[in-house]
Amino acid sequence: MYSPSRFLCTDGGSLLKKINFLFNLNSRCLSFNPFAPKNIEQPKDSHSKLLTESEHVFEVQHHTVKPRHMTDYENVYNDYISEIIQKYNVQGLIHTGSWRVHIGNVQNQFVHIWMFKNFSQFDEFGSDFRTDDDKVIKYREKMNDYLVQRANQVCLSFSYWGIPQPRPLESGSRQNNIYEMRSYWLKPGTLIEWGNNWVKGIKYRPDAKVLGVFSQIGELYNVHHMWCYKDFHNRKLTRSAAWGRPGWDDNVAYTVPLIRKMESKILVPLKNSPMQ
Amino acid sequence: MKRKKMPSQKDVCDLCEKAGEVFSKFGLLLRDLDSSSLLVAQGSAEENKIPQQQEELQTKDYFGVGWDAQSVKMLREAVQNFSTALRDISTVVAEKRTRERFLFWFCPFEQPKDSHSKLLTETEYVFEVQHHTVKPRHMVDYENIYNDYISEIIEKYKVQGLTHTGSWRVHIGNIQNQFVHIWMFKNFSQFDEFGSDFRTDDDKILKYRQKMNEMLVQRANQVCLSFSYWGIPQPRPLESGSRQNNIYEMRSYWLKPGTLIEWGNNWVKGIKYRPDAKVLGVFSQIGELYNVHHMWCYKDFHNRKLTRSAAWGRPGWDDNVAYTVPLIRKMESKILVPLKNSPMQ
Repeated sequence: MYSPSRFLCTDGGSLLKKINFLFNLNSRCLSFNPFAPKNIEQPKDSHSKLLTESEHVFEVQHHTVKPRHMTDYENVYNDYISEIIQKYNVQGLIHTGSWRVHIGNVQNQFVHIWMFKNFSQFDEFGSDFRTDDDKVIKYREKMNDYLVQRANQVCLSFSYWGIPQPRPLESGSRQNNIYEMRSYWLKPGTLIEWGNNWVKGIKYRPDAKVLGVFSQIGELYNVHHMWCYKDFHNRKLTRSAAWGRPGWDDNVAYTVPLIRKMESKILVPLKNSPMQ
Repeated sequence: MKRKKMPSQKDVCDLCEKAGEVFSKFGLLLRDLDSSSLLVAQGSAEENKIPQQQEELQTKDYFGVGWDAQSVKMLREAVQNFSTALRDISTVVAEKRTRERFLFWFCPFEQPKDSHSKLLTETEYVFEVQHHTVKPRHMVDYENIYNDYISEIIEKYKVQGLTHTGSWRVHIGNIQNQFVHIWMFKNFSQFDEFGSDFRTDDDKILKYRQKMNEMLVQRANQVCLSFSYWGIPQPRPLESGSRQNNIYEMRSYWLKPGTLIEWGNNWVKGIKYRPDAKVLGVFSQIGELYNVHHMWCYKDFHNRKLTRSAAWGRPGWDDNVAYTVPLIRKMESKILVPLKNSPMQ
């Protein structure tokens, strides 16, 4: 049977390149994809080296809350935020933002994003870190009473999206922005290709970008892009404008074949969220 | 990328056919020569029935010189046998290739010739991997009860061969309110006796189970077998003086059906680049199928990052990734923190 593994067993060196070519050829034939003009680039190094610039680590939490306790949870979490920030901000724990899902697949859900300088800091302060502080423990217990399910991931930021900055409410502005979180579940092995395409693609959308992260631990090959709009009407205008710029359609055409599943959520920031 | 032109399978087949034809013609030639020489000797009227005789008479002179009848006969027989054999080979090869060409393009991975349990495992050990999703408010209660449950079970059944590999709480993962338990049995007969909610009259155990069930949202379990090249997972007690337990990363892969052997073939080599952190590698036999779990142990997240980056520095690791990633349908990773009474700390 002429399988690639047979070649590997008998010969080394140059044949491996042929096999790699054959594999790519096979995957192209298997997918019959008219949109993929070239082979999918395979990683030569870890994703964290190829796609990121800084060592920042993000923890993305999805808390599914019992619908009757949505308001209670929101209040408790606002207090929890101020408590945590007060105590640990100096040590480098940064709260990127907290949102409630306004429109989405799971509407009784909250999204929290925390940022750490590097993995050592994440060791110390990540996700339910060990603490003897009674207040913090009590907040956690209360929140657990309201939760149906908790999910979290450790993500890294794509270099071309930059580090997300706080967005305080403009003085005099009555209302906060809406945030759109687009989540993509990619086919395994396509993250580098995704990065390559979006490096160019992001240039057509400089207006609304907030953060772009890919997951390292938890659900894998999961990418989140967050965009910020004043309101739904502006969202529609902004997105239509992007199609007017040549090159945006190429970005869509090249990245869509890499996607296994995609979802979008509209998020509304919590009261104490740094991003409003 | 420079490529030398390798002869395709079609070329080889054609070559065989051509060779066969040539030799069969040569055989015919000799046969006719032989017959014509006899005819000439005997003056038979069959001469007229033999086609192409006129052309071959030319060759007769050439072959007639120095060749006696015996030699020609032997040569003719040999050539005929050879040509028949060649034609058989080319037919068989062509048929096989036609069949395999279809398979090659649509299913290029090595097909199993025997059951997975025979091809991929060395021992008869059976693993039960349990995922318990717990109500968030009862996470702590569940953990306490399960710790007691572990000590109870081990006390009673360890002599009979029930081995507790480890119990963990999910620290980071898609479902954070979850516990993972792995139990090991010597073979399937033992699993019959002691696997998953085995029948028992012991009141204490029944009570523990009842209490746990009240806190559970969902239970999932699978029966898995261990890949031979991962070895049997050993207990990892806390080093004396060490304050903190290790973190475990459980990477779960859902493979495309039919690719398990290929996965095993690649990871046999791949595992050599990661000798540092390996704990266990199992594939599922009952439950969610074509599901592979690899467990790795790290001191902390920082060490995890260093260890994994170091692997990319070794040539061959990128090939391992490149060859195994196309086999994956979906993959997930979880960071696990061991329970107090877990043998792996």
